[in-house]
Amino acid sequence: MALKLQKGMSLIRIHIIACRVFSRELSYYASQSPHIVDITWLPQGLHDTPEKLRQMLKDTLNDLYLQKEKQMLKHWPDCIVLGYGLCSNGIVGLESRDTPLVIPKTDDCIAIFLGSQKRYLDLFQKYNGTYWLNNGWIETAFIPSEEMLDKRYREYVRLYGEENADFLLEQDKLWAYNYNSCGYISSSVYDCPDYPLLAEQIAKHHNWKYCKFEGDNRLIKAMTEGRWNNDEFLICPRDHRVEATYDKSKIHAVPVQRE
Amino acid sequence: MGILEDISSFLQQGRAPIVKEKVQEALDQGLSPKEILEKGLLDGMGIIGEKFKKNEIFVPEVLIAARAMNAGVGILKPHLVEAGVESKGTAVIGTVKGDLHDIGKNLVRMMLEGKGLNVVDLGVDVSSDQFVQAAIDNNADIICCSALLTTTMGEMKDVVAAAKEKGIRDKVKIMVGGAPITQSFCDSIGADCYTADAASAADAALSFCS
Repeated sequence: MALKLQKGMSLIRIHIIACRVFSRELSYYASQSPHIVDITWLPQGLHDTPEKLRQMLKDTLNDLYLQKEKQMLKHWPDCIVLGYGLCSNGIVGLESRDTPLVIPKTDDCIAIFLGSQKRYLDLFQKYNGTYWLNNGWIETAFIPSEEMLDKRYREYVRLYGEENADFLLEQDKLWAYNYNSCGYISSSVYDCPDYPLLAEQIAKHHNWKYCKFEGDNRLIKAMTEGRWNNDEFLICPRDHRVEATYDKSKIHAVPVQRE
Repeated sequence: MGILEDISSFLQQGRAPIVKEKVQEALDQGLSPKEILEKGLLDGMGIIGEKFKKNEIFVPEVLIAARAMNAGVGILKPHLVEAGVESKGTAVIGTVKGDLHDIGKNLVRMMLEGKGLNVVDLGVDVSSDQFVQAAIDNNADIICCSALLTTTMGEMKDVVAAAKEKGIRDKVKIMVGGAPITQSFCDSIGADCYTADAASAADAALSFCS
């Protein structure tokens, strides 16, 4: 429940379930929020398997409600925010219960790190073929390196023989040929000088162009401050399900009939 | 074990050089190219597809099996042409406009080839017009569209529209796939088929050709 303050102000309680790729930015803005923010982190990379992402989000929501049922929580949030974009449609099919669900209407985290879906789409058009990196991706995602490829090669030799290992390693490298640049998104929250250098090295290794873009944390800040406009966030009222619209609005909420 | 079983078995183990040798040996023994293809190579790939569907094997095993199949087909091809053996159907495949992620698409291509289909791979970033033109040029039975991004999956709707516009919609089946794609999306754009994995895509594609 909201906490009443003097002069009629009240703090709301926001529970965010987020991908760990947002850990630095979201932690920072959660600490600075005028409201009370709690965060459950999920592993980075679930967008690769949207079914798993959907299941983990459902399990996390179930777990929260179970804690409530067992009276393990002193406070229940006023709303639950997902620190996810569409992320391969992994958020589609989720249902709110007695508490609204709030979800950014972006394709993925890159749009969130860039500050808006519009900026992301503009850059997507202008620089198609960009492999995006930022501090969150460098720290939590799988970043291909020579050391990793060597290890994988040895594993291939052991399992499939040397002749196949050469072929499989070549297959592993194919994905990179379709990209033409590496876009590093800086962050005003945390700036490690090594990270853009690493991104530049990766670009050089793959013979990509290197570009640096300034990050914009306005959506992340808005998540923690309860400032959700209907254009950029889906506010899924209680007892609604998130459904895909397959148009520019991406997702909408439809009522769930419960027995 | 007979030589056809050997070919199937070595293919499943991904042993390309031996598959090549065994295919030549089978030809030398006087077996028909069609029999070697169907009871040796395609039989092996069929088993690989089933195992992949059941998560008993993973992408590397499929890749090396497909490579072994291609090695065998390389030897067999001139003999198949000579014997007038035709493919079971033709599919054009590619990732949609703006989408450069082709790992899934490549896997589907291998599985389709493993069913004896002729596959025209258009690569990545394929426009709706290119899909449809390639289908016309190759007299294709199927157009297979792949997308990894929610940003690009909407392009598939344009492929369906372009096929209608060029008057080939009733001649081709349009199959869609990729991580963000679902049956409801497939239905919403009026495509014919969605499958969740590459091996099921190949089963569906074959059923469209027979």
